[in-house]
Order: sequence, then C-alpha cells, then structure tokens
Amino acid sequence: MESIQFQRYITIGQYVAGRSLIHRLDPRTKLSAFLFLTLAITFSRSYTANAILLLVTLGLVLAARVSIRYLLSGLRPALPFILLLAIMQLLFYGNAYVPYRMEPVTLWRVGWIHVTNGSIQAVIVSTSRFVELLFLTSLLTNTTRLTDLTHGIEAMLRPYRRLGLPAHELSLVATIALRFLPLLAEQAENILKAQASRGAPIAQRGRLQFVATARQLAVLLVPLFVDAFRRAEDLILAMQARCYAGGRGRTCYVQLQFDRTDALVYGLTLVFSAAMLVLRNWFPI
Amino acid sequence: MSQQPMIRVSELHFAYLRGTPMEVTALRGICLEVRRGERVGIIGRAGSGKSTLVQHFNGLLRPDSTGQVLVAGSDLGDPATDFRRIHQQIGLVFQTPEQQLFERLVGDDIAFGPKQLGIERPERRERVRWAMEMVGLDFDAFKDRLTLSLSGGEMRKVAVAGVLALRPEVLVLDESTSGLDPSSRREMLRRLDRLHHEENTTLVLVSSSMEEIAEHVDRVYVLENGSVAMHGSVREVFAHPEQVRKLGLDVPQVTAIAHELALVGLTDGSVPLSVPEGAELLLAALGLHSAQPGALGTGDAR
Amino acid sequence: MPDSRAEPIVKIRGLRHTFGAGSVRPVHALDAIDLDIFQGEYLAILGHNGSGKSTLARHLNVLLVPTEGEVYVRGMDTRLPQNVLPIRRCVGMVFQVPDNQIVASVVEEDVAFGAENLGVPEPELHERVEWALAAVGMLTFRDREPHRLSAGQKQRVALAGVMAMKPDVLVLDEATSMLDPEGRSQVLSAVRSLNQNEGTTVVAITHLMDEAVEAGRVIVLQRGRIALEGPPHNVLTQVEQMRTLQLDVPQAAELSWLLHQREPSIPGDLLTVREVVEGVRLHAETHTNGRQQPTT
Repeated sequence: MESIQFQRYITIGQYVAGRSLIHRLDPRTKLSAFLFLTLAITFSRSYTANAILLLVTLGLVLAARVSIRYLLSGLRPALPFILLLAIMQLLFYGNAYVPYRMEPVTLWRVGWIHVTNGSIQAVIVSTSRFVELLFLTSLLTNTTRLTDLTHGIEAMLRPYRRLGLPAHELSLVATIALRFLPLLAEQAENILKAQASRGAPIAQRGRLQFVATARQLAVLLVPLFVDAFRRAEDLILAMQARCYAGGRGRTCYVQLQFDRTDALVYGLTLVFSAAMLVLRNWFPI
Repeated sequence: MSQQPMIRVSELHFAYLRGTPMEVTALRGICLEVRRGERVGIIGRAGSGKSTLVQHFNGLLRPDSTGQVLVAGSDLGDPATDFRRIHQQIGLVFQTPEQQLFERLVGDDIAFGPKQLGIERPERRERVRWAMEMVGLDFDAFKDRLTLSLSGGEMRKVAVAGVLALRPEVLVLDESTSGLDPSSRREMLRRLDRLHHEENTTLVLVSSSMEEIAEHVDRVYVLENGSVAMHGSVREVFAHPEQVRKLGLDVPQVTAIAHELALVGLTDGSVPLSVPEGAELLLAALGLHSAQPGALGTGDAR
Repeated sequence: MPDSRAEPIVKIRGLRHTFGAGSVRPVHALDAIDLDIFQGEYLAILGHNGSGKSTLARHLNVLLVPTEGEVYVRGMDTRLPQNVLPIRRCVGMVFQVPDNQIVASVVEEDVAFGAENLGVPEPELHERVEWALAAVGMLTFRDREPHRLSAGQKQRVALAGVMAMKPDVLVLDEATSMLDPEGRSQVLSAVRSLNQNEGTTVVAITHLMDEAVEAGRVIVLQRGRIALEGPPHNVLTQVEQMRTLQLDVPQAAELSWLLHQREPSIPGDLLTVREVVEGVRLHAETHTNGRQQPTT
C-alpha cells in the first residue's frame, strides 16, 4: 500500500504563500469579486463572452503569481467527469441547446447520436466555464488563508447582527471546522493504517478502494466519529475555561484593512461583471 | 534459530508528499537490523523519523528504488510480495492504539485481525482468549463488554490484544506506554517481557522513556533527523550521555549518576541500567559490599 | 515566596464530589478534601489514575461544582452562578491534549481567543498576545498554523492563550503527559518562569516526576483523599509510601533510599541526580580507605 497522502490531490483550499497584489487584498474584496465574476460566468453563453472571461481569469492568475500548472493539476481529479459530461453533451443533447446567435444546424445524426452546432457550443462553453470557475475558486483559496476568509465573511455579516444573525457564532463554527479538518484527515490516515496493519482490505497500490459495504466502511467511520466527538467534548471544556459566551461583548484581534487598492478592485470587478451581465445577449457570436 | 535477520533495512530513504511543493524528507539512508528473538529499541527526539521508520517494517510504507527492506527474507520493495502475510508476521501497534477500535463488543474487535486472516471460529476464539490473557483482560468478564464503555487503559489493552491475536513473530510498539500512569506502564512492560520470554516474540520498542529502554531492550538505535546517529547495545549507547543529550534525549537518572561519579574516579565506569544495579555499583565503589548480592530489596510492592 | 499567613487565593473545605449521585453506581471521586492554595505558590497534585486529581482540578475553575462542601476562589463561592465568569478569569486551565484546546488556524489568533472573550480592547489585545507568546518562547511562530507544530509547541501555544487572559492561577491538567521529553521540558520551563517572574500561582496535576520536582509543595491523592502533603523533598522520597499509592519516585530518590538502607550515613532523602552525586562524593571523601573518618 502506498502512502495515503490526501493533500496531494486537492488544490482548492490550499493556501500558497505569496506577496502578490491579489494576496494582499482584503478578503472581503476577493470574496465580493469572486461572487461578481461567478455571476458573470454563469450567465455568459457566447463564445466571445467566454473568451473575455477566460482572459480575465488568466490575467488574475498571473497577477496572483500562482503557477498555471499547479491549477491545472487541480483539474485532474475532475477530469473523468468533465470528459464524460462533455461527450454526453456533444453526442446526445443536440436538440436541447439553441445555439447563441446561430441557426441550429445538425452536423451528424445516427440513431440516438445527434450532434449539432448547438451541442458543440454547449460543450465548449461548459468546459470553459468549468475551468474559469475552478481556477477562480482555487485562486481565492490559494491567495487567501481560509481563516482570513472566515474573518472576511464575519466582517461582512456583522452589520446584520442587529437583525439577530449570530455572525460570530457562525464564523467560529467555520473556524473550528477549518482548524480540525487537517487533524481529522490525519486521524483518518492513522486509523486506516492501523486497520490495514490488522489485515483490513483497505488500500491497494496507492489508490483507496472503498468497497461499498457499510461493514467495511465502519472500520474507518466508527473510530473517526468517536475521535471527532471526543475532540468536540474536550474543546467545549477548553472554550468554557476560556470564558467563551457567544459573540456579545467580544472584541476582535484581527482587524481587516480595506484600502484604496481594494476599493479599486472591488469597483472594477463590479462594473465589469455588471457589464457582462447586461450585455450578455449583445455579443456577436 | 535462523541466521537471517528478521528485519533488515538498507539505505532507506523516504519523503512525504514527494514531488509536490510540500515535500518533506523523513528518512535518509537508514541501515538497521533486527534479529529473531531480540528486543530492539528505537529512540530519537520528536520528528526524527521513528514512526516513519517502523511503518516500513510491515509494508505500510514501501521503500523507493534506492533503499531495501527485507522482512524474513521477503523484499518489501517487490510488488509481488504477499503483504497480507507480512502484516501477520509483523504486528504493528500504533501510538494511542485505542483509536482503531470500531467493533461494538470487545471480543469482536480483538477477533477482527484473525477473521481477516481467514481463521475459523473455534481457533479465533482461542486466539482472542490467549490475546486477552496476555494483556491482562479476563476473557469472560470483558469479551462482551462495549468497547467504548471501557476506561482508557482498558481500551489500550483491547487494541494491543487485537494485534497480538494475529500471532505476529515480531511485535512493533510505537510509543505504546505514552499517556499511561506509572503502574499501568509497568504492567504493560512486564507483560511484553512475558510475551518475549514465552513465545520468543521479537520486540521492537519505540519509546521516549529512557528508563523503559534501559530495562526492556537489549540493543538500541538512536535516530536524528532521519538517520541513525548511534546504535549498539543499550549499555554501549548509554555510556555516552553527552552524545545522547546532544540528540535531544537523556539517559536514565541512575546511569547519569554513575557516569558523573565515574568522571571523578569513584566508579569503574560500568553503566548501570536499573536502580538495583546502580546501588550495587555504588556500594561496591564505596567499599561497602552488600551482605548478599541482590539482597538490596526493592520489594515486590509493584 | 508565597506567604502562608496571607489569605489563600483558593480555599477548599470539606469538598466531596460524587458522579452519578442518584444513579445505580455512584462514583465518589473526592471525599472530604480540605486545602488552601496560596498566591504565588507552585503546587503539584499527584495521584494514580482514578485518585480524583483531575476532578479536584476542575473545581478550581467551576467546570465542576461540589456535591458537598465549598470551594472559594478569591473569596468567591463556586456554587453561585454569577461567580462563574469572574472565577474563570482568575483561574486558567491548560488541558492534556494539545490539539483539542486550540480553536483557530493561526497561532496568534488562538492566543487572542480568551482575551477577546473577556472584551479586552484592541490595542491591549495585541500587547497581551505578544507578551504571552514571548513568555512561552513562541513569538516567532505567531503566524504559523497549529497543526504544523510539534506537540510541545502546541502546548505552549495553549499556555500562551491562557496567559493572555492574565489569570492569577494557572492549572495544568496533566498538561505534559502526552509530550516527548523535549516538549515537556520546554513547557515546564515556560511555566517555571511564569511562576517566578510573574508570580502566577501554579497548580500542576500530574503523575510525572519531572513535573512534581518543580513544585514547592506536593499533595498526593488516593481514592479522593489527601494521603501525603509536603515539600517534594519530603514526599517524593518516601519510596515505600509512594509505591503503596501506585506512584513512581524519581530513580535518584529510589537510589538514595536503597543506599541509605545499607549505609545510614548516606542520606535517604536525596531527590535529584545532582544531590545523589554530591551525597555519594561526600561520603567517599569522609570515609576514605574503608575507615570512618571523623566528620567535622
């Protein structure tokens, strides 16, 4: 059994240290920009719009000085799904897509297979959207520590506290989840190793082959849950001992700075995304 | 007795997350040998590679192209090796082994290993009974207890029994006494000695307690930063306290005392590994021989 | 040095604690404990597993309340709900498992957690976090992720988090039992300096001799009662007594006791390596050539 090293396969959620322009932005700016761009991407159906968005995404990747190869490697786990989806869309969805600014033309029809210029466009647009979204999501977490993201979200939700929203409690839930995720992953690895050492049929040749029976998953899940609950119990005591009593009356160590660069980036992405949305039906192809 | 060592490690290198930006080298060129029936200790400061090393002994981790790990003649670098058999021959008990318990009833959890080996029910039951006896859990009283209702110390015994039930030829224990109170720790070590004595089980002990090492193993390897920094019989290694201390460890108090006194010429430089031995040595050095050798009662109040 | 004539910071009278009082099998964890803890002292509470030592510790910061008897912290009765928060400000606790105390994914943010809860204003928050991290020797690790630290480092972060609340009393609940020797000595060294330089009262619950020898006073519990009490030199050298209480003594103490049995002129209550070496050397000097020299 090769070492199970989960960290290797996931680019989303991995912080890659750096001092680029993007790294230094306030998390609120990045979250908002991410939201605006996601909206723009979701509603853009034309080739032109997607080309523009792809360029903008690549521009952001360059500005963040994150390696494109690294981001592409994050595609790898999803690749089988993308390919499957693409093939299905291409071959079988000819009827469903009215192509953007084009007359539907059937290119090939054999039995169930129905390829049209619409389905080709669908495939290209979907794939490019997927890549854009993946890159942006990875980028967001590559340039912002998850804890800073939670601080950003909490800061954005804080004004709603007056309406009864437990902003700090929610962000603490996120903070604690983030904090314990690597620990639970490590614990899972330790448990699997211990069970494998007892002969449990767990891992073959570097890939985890989870046989679907509940019985066999139990060797991992039962101890993992027990461990998680035990940690939770300990943590509750520790938080009580440190006088945690909810968000009321708390001060905050982390002070976010929203400066001129942030305002600029915020404004630009807002305007750009709004423009893309408003003009989405106006692009030539 | 076979002349071939039970475990032989040559030039073992290992890096976690190799090929990624987060690569970290854990082992650099380790060479090590464990012979059948021996008791070997592996010590080293935190992060020196001890756990990584012992996980190579039962094939959990595999050597890369430069290193070699031979277990009872089988080459663990060869993909055709029967790793199920290796898992049975080399029983590995992890740190806080209680974390592996998953069955509802104690008896079932201990029987898990033998079941995976395809052992039939009557023999399985015998193995469970034997394993529980070895760790000091009464078979009838504990076999139908709920695993999660036991105390920490009892759960640890169940976990160790679960590995013993495989009847391994080599038992590797990674810090298995850590977190135990003094009397539980002494009990576990006593039982391991008994196992070694009765079944000729080879023992590999990873520990951060120097006193444990001094009194329960014959040879020791000291790891530092992924390599073997010192090795030899326990006496040979503990004869150099300054070197041991530079590696972030220490020697047992009684050994340190004898060493200090040897430096001022009061003793002959022998290396005592236990308190009674130290007392004999010091009394002899002061010209006060005990009335009968070994008459220094430490009592069996333990 | 703690002034034992002054009012104790913690007063415990007739403390009994029973788990599952109304149930089929109640567990009497503590049985009529009377104890005074003085400001600035370093107290070690020893006992085998099940002796009640952790239960006793949890009464100090109102994680538990007495079934019978009273516990007063700075004169505040722990049974009154309005005293819970003020007492917890005053008594901080570091627990056994380093990971399960750390809430945030960045060291300095976790250290700030407790002080944030107390509503400490912003600029002072930063000062306290820096001071606490420096006091435990972890200032250079302020922006690291806790899960990349060693156990000893994590435990020091937890310690800093408690100290940033500026408590009068620091309770260590088996805080070094999961650490390797190096980590243990780092944590103990930080605690020692807090006790000596800041005057923080330390109550260390442990079964490890390394921790116990640090203390100015040692208490040994057995079955919920105080069985032995006194300075480490008096308590930790009572080899036979400690064995009955299912505890170890340091090897040096055991050696000294054995030597003393055979040769009474060698003191039987030596505790450390240094002391035994000196004791034996002294004996050798005053008894050269097997003939007893008159001691001056």
